[in-house]
Formats: sequence, C-alpha cells, structure tokens
Amino acid sequence: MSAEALVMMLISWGVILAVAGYCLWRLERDR
Amino acid sequence: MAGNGGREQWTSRLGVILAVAGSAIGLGNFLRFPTQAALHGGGAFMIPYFCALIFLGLPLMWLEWALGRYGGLWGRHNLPGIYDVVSRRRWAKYLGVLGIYVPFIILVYYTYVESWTLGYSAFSALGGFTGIGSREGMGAFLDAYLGYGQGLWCLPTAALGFLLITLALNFCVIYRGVSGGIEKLNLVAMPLLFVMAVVLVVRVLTLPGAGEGLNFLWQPDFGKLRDARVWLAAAGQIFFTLSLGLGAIITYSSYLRRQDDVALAGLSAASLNELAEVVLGASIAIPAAVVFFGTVETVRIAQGGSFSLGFMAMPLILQQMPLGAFFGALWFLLLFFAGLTSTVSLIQPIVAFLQDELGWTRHRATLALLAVTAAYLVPVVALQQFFVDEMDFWAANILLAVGALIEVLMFVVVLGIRKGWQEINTGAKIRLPRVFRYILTYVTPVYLVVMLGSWIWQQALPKLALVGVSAEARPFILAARLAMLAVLVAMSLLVWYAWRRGTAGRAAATEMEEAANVG
Repeated sequence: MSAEALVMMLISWGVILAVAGYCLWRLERDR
Repeated sequence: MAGNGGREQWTSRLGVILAVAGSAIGLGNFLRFPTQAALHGGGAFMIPYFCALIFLGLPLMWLEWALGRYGGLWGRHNLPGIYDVVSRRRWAKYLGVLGIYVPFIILVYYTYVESWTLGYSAFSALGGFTGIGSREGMGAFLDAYLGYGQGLWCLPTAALGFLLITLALNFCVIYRGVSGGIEKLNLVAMPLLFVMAVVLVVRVLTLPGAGEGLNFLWQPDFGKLRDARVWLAAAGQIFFTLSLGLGAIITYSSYLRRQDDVALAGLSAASLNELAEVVLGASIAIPAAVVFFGTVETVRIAQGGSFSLGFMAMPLILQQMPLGAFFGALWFLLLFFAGLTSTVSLIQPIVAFLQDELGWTRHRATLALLAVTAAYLVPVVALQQFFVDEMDFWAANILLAVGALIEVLMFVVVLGIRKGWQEINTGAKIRLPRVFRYILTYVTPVYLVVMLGSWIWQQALPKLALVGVSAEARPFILAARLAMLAVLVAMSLLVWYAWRRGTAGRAAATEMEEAANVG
C-alpha cells in the first residue's frame, strides 16, 4: 500500500472514529 | 424517554439513535460508496465527501431532527401535518406530500431489492451458486431469479417467495409500533449488522493481497478534484447515505420530548453511518474484488454499478474462499439487515400520516399500506427492468433533493432560522458551533440547488425525453411514470380529503389533551 493511500485512509478513518468515539463517550457520560 | 402523551414513544435514547442510523445505513453504504470512491479519485474523493458532510449532510441532519421534534410537540409525525403546523398556510401541507410519496415509491422497489439479498443469503448457505465460475454466469443466475426472458408477466416463484417474507417482516415490525417494533428491531439488528460487517472486514483484510485492494480504493488522484462531477458525486453520496430529504428522520424524531437532545443524537447517528460506510463498507467489496479479479477488472465491475458488485462479483468472490458458504450467507444477511432497518423507516412516515390525519389506528393503517404496497409490487416484479430504474431515478434522486430543498426553505424561511436554530439547540448535550447556523441558511440551500440543477440538466431532461430508450421499452417506461404519477395524485387527494373532512390533526389534539391531563 502506498504512503499516500495509507495517509488518506488513516485520516478518513481517524476523523470518523474520533467523532464516533466522542459521541459514544458523551452519550455514556450523560446517560 | 417518554413521547408525546399516551401515543407512540421511544423508550431509550440509544433506541432512537440506532433507529435513525439504521434508516441511514443501507445497501448503499456497502455497495454504492466504495464504487463511487473507486471511480472518483480514490482517497482524493474523501475531500469533497467530507466537505459535503459538513456543508450539506450534518446541517440537514440537525434540521430534520429539530423539525421532527417540533412537529411531534404538536402531535404531528408526518410531513404534511408538520408543514401545516409550521406554516399555518393552506398550501403548506401539499408540499409535505413528498414526505409520504417519496418513501412509498422507494419502499416499493427497495423492498424488492432487499428481498434479493435474503434470497441470495439462502442460496449462498445452501450452495446455490456452485458451478458458476464467471460474472456472466452470475448475471444469468440473477436474470433467471428475476424471471427475465420467461415472458413479460411471468412472476418468478423464488423471488416472489422471498419478497413475501421480506414484506411480512417489514410490516410486522411496523404493526408492533415505534417502541415495540422499530426500536426493538434496531436494538438487535444494528449491533448484529456491525458485528457481521467487522467479521467480513477481518476476513477480507486477511486475504493475501488485501493491501493492494485497499491501495486501489485509497490511492488519491488529486487531479480528479478539478472535475465538478466528482464534487457532485460526493454531494450525492452524502445526501443518499444519510437518508436526507425523505421525511424518515423527521418522523422518527417526532416521537421525542421537548427537552430531548437532537444535536448530539443527530451527530451520533451520522457518525455511526459514516463508520459503517467509510471504515467498514469501504473495506469489504472493492478490496475483495481487487484480490480476486485484479484492478483492471475491478474498475469494470465498479463501472457496472452497485448491482454488478453486490450480486454478480461478490457471490463469486466469497464462494472461492474457505468457508465460502458461511461468508456468502453473512454478506447477504448483512445487506438484508441494512435494508430492513431502512425500509421500516420508509413505512413509518406513511403510517403516521394515516394515523394523524385520517384518524386510523396503527393496525388499520399498517394493513392498508401493506395491501397497497403489495398491489404496486405486482407490476414492479413483472416489469422490474423497466420500473425499478425509473422509480429509483425520479424518487430517490430528483424528488429527494426537491424534498430536502423544501425542508430547508420551511425551516429557514417559514419557521425562521432564529427559531429554527433555537430548536436545534434546545436540550442540546453539545454546543454546536454558531457557524452552522449560517451554513444552514446560506451554504446548504446553494449546495442543494447546484446539485439538483446539475442532475436535472445532465440526467433528468434526457431521461424525460427517453433519449437512448428502445421503441419497445418506451410503453413500459411510460407506464411506470403513469403509475408513479397516479400515486402522487392519489396521495395529494388524500391530504386534501383529510383536511376537508376535518380529521387532520384530530388525533393530535386528543393526544395533546391526554398529555395535558397526564401532566
């Protein structure tokens, strides 16, 4: 896998996982 | 989480979030997204994709959650009723007709496609594809399953059987109500869907050469960003994947209480959808196709569209793996669950309309809609090759975007962005950046107008003029359009009749009275 492809994949996944994780954390905290 | 008065209600916040995510996560997450990304710049596609998510997807998502909750406070759970209370003008309810019409049209053909996934899951488990070694062979199998070449009105037995099971499952869920049916389904189906997707991702990514598959999908071609079509494709993908413009999210959120959060819930549902699409959906079909067919053939498969990838390439790929029957069944079961949680969200707005505006009971409304859906499905099954594409194009492309544009205008202009922004932030568990107020007011409508305008110019006008359609197909295409037009007229008349008869909103008044008495 090329470095460029890896960077694009990791940035995309990272952003989505971070937002989803934040949402789950907030939902759990406010439960 | 109590609802409004003594009627339908969600029993948990997780339930409503999973229901909205379930509505959004459909076949497109696992089939449409990877083909769009592969054809439009690979990793570079994510730049217009995230732009569309920020400027179009998230603002519309919050708008729909807030508009739905606002309508629910007035005891209205359907778009004609909600527009009526938002605007108080006689014409407004007719704009809401799209909120019951578009879900119905999509419901009809989507249920049929959903039933194929159930059928293919059974065929995979039972070795039904054994001996088929090429995509052409799989294409012939699909044709035989759908009854092509067996005479125009010859109904395919197996396809009909799975369709009946799918219809029964969908309407059973709705028959049991919002908390007893939809919420329970999503609380079980959504975690299962994610588990199935993770199992398939692990299987695909541990195949020798899977890295090349991921590389094919994510290798950025930044030169493609100069092509406006890539930006439009990304906007379209965000729009479809989040189930926007349908009225489904509005109906679901109308069963919330005044102080229930919509900001965090909307963001949570959207992020779950993105997780299913970009992280899981992108890691199954296209990487597997590259491993088995190579990059050149995978481009051809992607150009063939979602059906080519899902129903012709994937069964071949999966049956060649160790435990192929298991993984094949799992793949189609995953698609079936994704479809099921989406189709129930298409039925609920129409049932809610019949309950709220005609004063019908849930059971009566569900059975009546089942009968109408089954009747419409007869020509769709018999003439699938003419009907499905036509219905999909007009309802799920053009009218969906028109519906979203009307929603934005209702929210920003008629309700007023000041009040609308307050609605979004009422009970909010997170503080939304104020910039989204301006994005919703100015950027989102422009995004929608440009997207819709380009679709009309590039696709709708040639399609309307039947460009490239053979002479023998024309009568059937026109019949499909006539059938769709007849439903639109019938639904508009139903709205007119409900208000004229005076039943519109009567159930809501009773509901609010009950709520006041309980309070």
